[in-house]
Amino acid sequence: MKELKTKLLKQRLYSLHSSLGVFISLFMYISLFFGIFTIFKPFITVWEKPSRHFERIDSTVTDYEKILKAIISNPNYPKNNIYIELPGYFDDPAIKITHRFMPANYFNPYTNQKIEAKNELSYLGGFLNHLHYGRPFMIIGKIIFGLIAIGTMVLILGGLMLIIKMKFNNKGRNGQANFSKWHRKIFLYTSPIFLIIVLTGALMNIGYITAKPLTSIVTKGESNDIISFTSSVLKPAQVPIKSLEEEVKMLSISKLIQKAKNINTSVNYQKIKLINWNDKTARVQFIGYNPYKPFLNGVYNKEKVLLSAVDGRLIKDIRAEDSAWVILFADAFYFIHLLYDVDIFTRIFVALLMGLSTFAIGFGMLLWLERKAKIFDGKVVFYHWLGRFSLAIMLGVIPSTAILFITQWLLPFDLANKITIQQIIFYNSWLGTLVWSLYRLNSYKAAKEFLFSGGILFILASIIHQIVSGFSLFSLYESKMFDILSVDLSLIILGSILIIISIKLPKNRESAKFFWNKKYTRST
Amino acid sequence: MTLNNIIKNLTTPESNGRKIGAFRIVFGLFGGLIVSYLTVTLFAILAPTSKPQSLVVSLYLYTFVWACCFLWISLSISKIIVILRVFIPSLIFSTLILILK
Repeated sequence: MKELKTKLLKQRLYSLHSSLGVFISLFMYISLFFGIFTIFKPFITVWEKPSRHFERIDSTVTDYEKILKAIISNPNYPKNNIYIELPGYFDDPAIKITHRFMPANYFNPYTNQKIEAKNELSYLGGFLNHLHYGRPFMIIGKIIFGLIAIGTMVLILGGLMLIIKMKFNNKGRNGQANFSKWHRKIFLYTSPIFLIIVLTGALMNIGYITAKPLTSIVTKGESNDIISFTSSVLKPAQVPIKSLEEEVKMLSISKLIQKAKNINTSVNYQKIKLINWNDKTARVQFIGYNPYKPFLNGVYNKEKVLLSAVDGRLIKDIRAEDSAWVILFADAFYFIHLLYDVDIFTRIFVALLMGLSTFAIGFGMLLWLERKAKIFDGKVVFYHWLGRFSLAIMLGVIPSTAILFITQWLLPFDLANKITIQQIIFYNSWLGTLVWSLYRLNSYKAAKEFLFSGGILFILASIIHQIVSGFSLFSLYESKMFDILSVDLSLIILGSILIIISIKLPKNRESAKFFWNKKYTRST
Repeated sequence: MTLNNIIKNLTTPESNGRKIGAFRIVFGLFGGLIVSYLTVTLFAILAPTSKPQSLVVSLYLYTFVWACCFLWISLSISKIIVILRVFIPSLIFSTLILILK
């Protein structure tokens, strides 16, 4: 009986993993693919806008007073709780001034002029982010992607159980065994971080939507909005300071930034909050991210320095570890997924891990298809609808995303409905790749074509950006626009890698057998 | 099909597990949702911390508990165990929530 039990458990675990995995991997791949672009969203949002093509300036040399004067001279603009986002926050070289009840204003820190970008229609980075979590289908898409995230957690836990319970050997000598080996090996190492990312993804897509009964029961009907109810602990409100209505001259903000930098040396300051500005009780709060304390700050938790704006004395120096345990708990979860303020190295690290995971998903899919294909080996051409569909989803998405980047600079920025046209072209070209993968009998050839065209189109996107914007790679380097230069360069590098992969990949099933077993075939 | 047959069908384990079947997936998904939801609700009520704090913890862990319950329910040996693994915890947790609320 016990033997039967363990046999059944193993069989069920395996069939649950493969049947659920084949269905979920297609959606998860989309989420991961666009997620990698979303990691670099700050850079893409700067690259996509002509109004942001200027050098990023050091935050201490800007003349904030001039900019503030232009804003505050409006008598209706509130003088309390004004936020200034410093140049370089989210890699945006512009200065952004916001208030809860006022529209945001953007300024060029060189000319101190307001950036009027009313007819600059551009929504590339945001759209890539929306595709990452199913937002184009509104609430339904969000719920579907949330369920996919929960399914992925089932797959991760089930996969780890499979590795423990079953004896896999890594000495297989055919494609199937190699796919299985790589699928297991990659996911075994990426799973800890992948699990946290998927967990927070499920939380953001499904957790908050379904939390109403939970909140209502726990609070005994007091509230059913979990966000506002928990914000009392996650974002504790500051005690408002009463204004004395006495106008005093303020110290220069750039000098105050320098002072704050001397107080807390390891923080990258990103935002400034002005409290009771131009009053005797005026204070400035500097808010930033400490890169030496990952997982402890960056989302809800921020390091802050509070200075008096009248004489510049230190009022409060808040460090990351001073916060309540709940805030640290929340940040530990969200940090690796949201990557709000982090430096480029963390971004590249997470992007590499997730890129590896997309490969692992691809190997899992190949493993499943290879098992199906083996039955027909040598008799007929293997033609499975799921194979064609996953070919279009996994590789067809590459040229269509490249087209998204091309249309961003090819279509004029004042074209009415530009964003809609751009998205329609993207969706249709993605659908076109499905037609193409259904049409081509030899799917190896179709895969090569998708990768090759994707590579060419990505390189073309960079070239078109250089021509239309008027900044070549060299002039971008000369005028120190490194954020934009890095996007252009990475598009070219990505395109070249795709072209190389497309040339290296096998042409047909016969050469594929050799390709996935090079080690074995060479030694004999 | 008589009631006896249904019970017999539910209690005998299937001879092989190569097909997982819609029964286990549906019970795993929705049963897992109910069990995990009640678990985190009970946790939030019982936790010694303040209400917003315990809500944060239970909300953050709830999708993970859901995935664990899905796995636990769908891998049962026979179909009757699948049903019991959904209903027994749900009944216990919901009565406890009703009492403690």
